[in-house]
Amino acid sequence: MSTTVGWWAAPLLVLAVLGAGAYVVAVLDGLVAARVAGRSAAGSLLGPARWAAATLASQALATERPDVALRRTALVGYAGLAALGVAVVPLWDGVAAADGPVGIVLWGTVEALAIVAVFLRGWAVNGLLALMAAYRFVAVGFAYLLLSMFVLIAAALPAESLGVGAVVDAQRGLWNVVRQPLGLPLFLVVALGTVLWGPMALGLGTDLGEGSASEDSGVDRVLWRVGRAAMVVAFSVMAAAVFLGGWHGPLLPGPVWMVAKALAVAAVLVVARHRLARVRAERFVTVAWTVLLPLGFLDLAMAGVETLA
Amino acid sequence: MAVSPWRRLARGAPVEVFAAAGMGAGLAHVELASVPDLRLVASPRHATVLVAVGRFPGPLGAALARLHDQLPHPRAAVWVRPAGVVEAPAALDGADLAQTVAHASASAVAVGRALRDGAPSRPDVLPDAPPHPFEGLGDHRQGGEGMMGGVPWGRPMAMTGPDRDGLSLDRSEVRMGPFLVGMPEGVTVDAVLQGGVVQEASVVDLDDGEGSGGSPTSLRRHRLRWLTETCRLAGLDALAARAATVAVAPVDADHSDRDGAALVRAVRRSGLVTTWRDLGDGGAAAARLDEVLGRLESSAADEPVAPARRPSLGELGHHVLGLTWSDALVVLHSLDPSAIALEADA
Repeated sequence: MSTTVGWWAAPLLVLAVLGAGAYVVAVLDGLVAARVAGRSAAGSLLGPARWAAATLASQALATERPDVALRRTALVGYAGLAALGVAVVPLWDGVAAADGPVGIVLWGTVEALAIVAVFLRGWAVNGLLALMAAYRFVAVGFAYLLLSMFVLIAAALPAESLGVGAVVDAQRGLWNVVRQPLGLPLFLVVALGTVLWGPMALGLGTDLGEGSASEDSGVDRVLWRVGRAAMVVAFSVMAAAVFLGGWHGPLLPGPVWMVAKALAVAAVLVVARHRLARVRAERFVTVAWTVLLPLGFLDLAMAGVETLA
Repeated sequence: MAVSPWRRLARGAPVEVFAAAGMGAGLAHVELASVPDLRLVASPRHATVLVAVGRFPGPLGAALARLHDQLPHPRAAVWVRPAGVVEAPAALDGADLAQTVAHASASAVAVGRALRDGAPSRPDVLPDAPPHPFEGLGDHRQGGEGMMGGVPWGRPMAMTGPDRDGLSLDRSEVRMGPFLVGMPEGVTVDAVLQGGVVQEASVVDLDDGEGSGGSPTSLRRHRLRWLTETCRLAGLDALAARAATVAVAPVDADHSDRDGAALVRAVRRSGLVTTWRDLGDGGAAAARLDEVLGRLESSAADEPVAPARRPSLGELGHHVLGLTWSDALVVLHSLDPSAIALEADA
């Protein structure tokens, strides 16, 4: 793995992308929510900051005997995983915090450990609804995790490399979203599952009083929301790089293309969050194993045939 | 007094409200979602203001007290007190009073913002002690029976037992409700869960049987309230806000019908009806949702009707056996006793 922006600048780059990106995602979320609710979007720009300021003034409650260390580790770890995810993605040609030959593998680790972090959050608070949601999330998480492996490996095949930068370079002539049309939609399912949004909000859910976040208040609640917005950023830049050709595009400079593509992916996720009802866990697991996973395998097989041809 | 920039920033945020439905609420509490300066939340830990609607007799009042103390400080409470009810439950002693949910929403915004400006928080109602004493009890003084069992920290230990498929799984004894999103008013469920599936269930109706179902309401408005709660249950908070806005809009306004039709289209496109079709209840909940959407599509303005006495839900435990808890909650929500009470007189 190589740090292409210098060791001192790498963390700054990641923090800047995550910080700015998470705020933009939160603003976008507010705009779409206002649109769906049929309300004025005035005030959306400051909305996330206002919410954070109000929530931080609230007492941070705890249940009797929570596992405080595990709870905080899961909270911070989830956001840290988002940072690791952003680090492996070149934001434009030659500019990455930690691009290397195994970026795709590292990304797979991010997704797997994110499932662990969400489960531990539900486990550690010592609350009934949180625990129920945590188990429900794990059941679904295992079903979508394999999906991600298939589509990402398929995306890496034309590049003959597991480095994200190499995958972007291989899309100079043709983006993977065209070459492998199943890849991006399936990856977005994984994204919604990992950030616990909309139809895949199974680790949360109003039916369980917000599930793994049901006992959060004050600073814990803010950290969790920031972490999820950061994870949306990580998935958006990864999808932009691996399926939408990264910084490649006509006329505009590379960074502009990258930002525009990541924003488009984030917008799709936000719209799905507010427009689609939460799926039933049991139904999703069935569909994942019988439909989505075979589609993922088909995507991988087609990519393999094309690479060998 | 100078206000810090941080506090000024916080002041502009919507006030987060947990709405607790008491007897006779008739789902009116969900209309709080129509107010842009408020945000309905699903956990009391996320709320600044508790808005309680209706009567809270006996055990429901005790549940409200436990709920009240779960709101983080600083917190406030507003009570939509029904006419004729004088005595306040302990959780609402000294709470701001409102006659209607519309008044309560204005009050909730005001007290929520006052808290951000430093107004005093409401103290706990219950003593800060474990509700189920356990320390020092049992063979090993951990509240258990032998090495395992018992109710340490007030939570029954999950002991293994046979499930319906012949497996041996942990059996979790849980009490759900009465203030969960989607739960009919005044209802709790004592359930035994194995692997997330309801193996045994006893629906406990906390209604004291006094009084009617609540205020006169048009069926259209009630259906929109139910749809609001349905959207909340499905995680569609923005659509819930839209449904609540349509519910409180005057029915004779031209734009209201257009808004209603657009709302119904949005709910249908969300995939909710399809999602509910295979709940394991024979499609009854999906049919109910489909019927409500259909009636809203073709609705003309209807006159308010006084609800009949709310039917008891105490015999409905068998409806949820074999379902996951989430599906069981949808089934209970779809039964909607306040709609039955209204339609009985319509």
